[in-house]
Amino acid sequence: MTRVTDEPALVLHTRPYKESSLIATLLTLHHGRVAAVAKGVRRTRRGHALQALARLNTDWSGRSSLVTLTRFESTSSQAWLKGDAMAAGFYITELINRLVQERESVPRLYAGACWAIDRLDDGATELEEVLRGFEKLLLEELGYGLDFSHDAQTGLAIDKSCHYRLEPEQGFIYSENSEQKAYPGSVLLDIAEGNFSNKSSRKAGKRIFRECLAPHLGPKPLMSRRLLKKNRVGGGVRR
Amino acid sequence: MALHLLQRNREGATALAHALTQAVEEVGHCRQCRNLSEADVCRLCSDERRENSVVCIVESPADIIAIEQAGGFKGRYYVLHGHLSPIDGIGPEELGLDQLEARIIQLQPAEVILATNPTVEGEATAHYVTQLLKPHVALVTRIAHGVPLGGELEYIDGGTIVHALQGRRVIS
Repeated sequence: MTRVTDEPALVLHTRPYKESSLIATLLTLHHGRVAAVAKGVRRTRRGHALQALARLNTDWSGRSSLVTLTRFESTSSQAWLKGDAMAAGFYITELINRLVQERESVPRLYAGACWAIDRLDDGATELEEVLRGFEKLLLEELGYGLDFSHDAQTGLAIDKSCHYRLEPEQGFIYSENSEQKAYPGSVLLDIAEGNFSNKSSRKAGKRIFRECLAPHLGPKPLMSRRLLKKNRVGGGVRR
Repeated sequence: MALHLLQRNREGATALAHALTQAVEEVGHCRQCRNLSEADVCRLCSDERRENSVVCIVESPADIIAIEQAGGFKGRYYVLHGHLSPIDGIGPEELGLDQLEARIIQLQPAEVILATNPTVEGEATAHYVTQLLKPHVALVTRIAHGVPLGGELEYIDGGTIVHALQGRRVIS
């Protein structure tokens, strides 16, 4: 029997289980993604704390893939995202749920996900900037991070005045002409520093990360991406 | 329950099995509001005394039962049978929101009440439905969230108190 106490966790998703229980999928600080059953909580007031995007302090026990949540307490106020920010929050939880293996410890990703949700909640940072920062961190933590500061073929530092193309599973390679699919070196250097404050790095980052994530996500499309797109078509409210 | 019925009440077990088979075969969805119904159009939709001017949107048939038992609402309903939940693969198409839009265009109510649950997914669904119905309805409202009747503030969680303060009402 494994017993874990005082473990910080971010709730990715909850679903009803039996008459009055819930199964919560958590991203925890030290134990990665964990599915936990919270018995009888749907009939109690404290069950309200078990919401997607909630930050908790948890105790749990069990050895199987479904552990039993024995205690949980909110550690910060619940994020009630709206419109595009909500769809972006779903995008973050869906990516983690699909790509992070059970019990794979990813403490930097835990911190990054909490940071991203806080930014979506306070609404002060451009939504695309938050998402690109999160995607970069996610790929790095999963071991698929790209080197944005060196040419993958020559090993030379990326020159901000040159153009580079992305070769799958290799990285960025110098491109003679500034062809349509090539990225300016200056943009790659911004991305290397995690600087998505300008439109060009956000736009390039979106294309690059989408291409990098695609083989790991498989053919099943991300539902939250559809929601984000639909929100915009339908004139979703930006916070 | 299975052991109890098999050991002590086999007649009851047969009656229960028959009732369940009949329910599975005969209970479908109301063509208009998608509530569970044996008829093509359910009892609530065919009741002419109910008002067409207000439509209440809920997540499940159990929510209709709860509202009807409470009394006080005499409008029409629409059941979504769930909420937006991307991780479960449930998006707008899976919830049949185009059917909801068509129903609202047909009914032309003066008000639509969003009574999805006050959860993150319920709120997301309410927001999405609002965007969808805004061009067709003059007034889209959300049920109030806050302190339960007979409740005491000191025992209520912080999130509910914040919502209750945000949704406060002018009384004078």
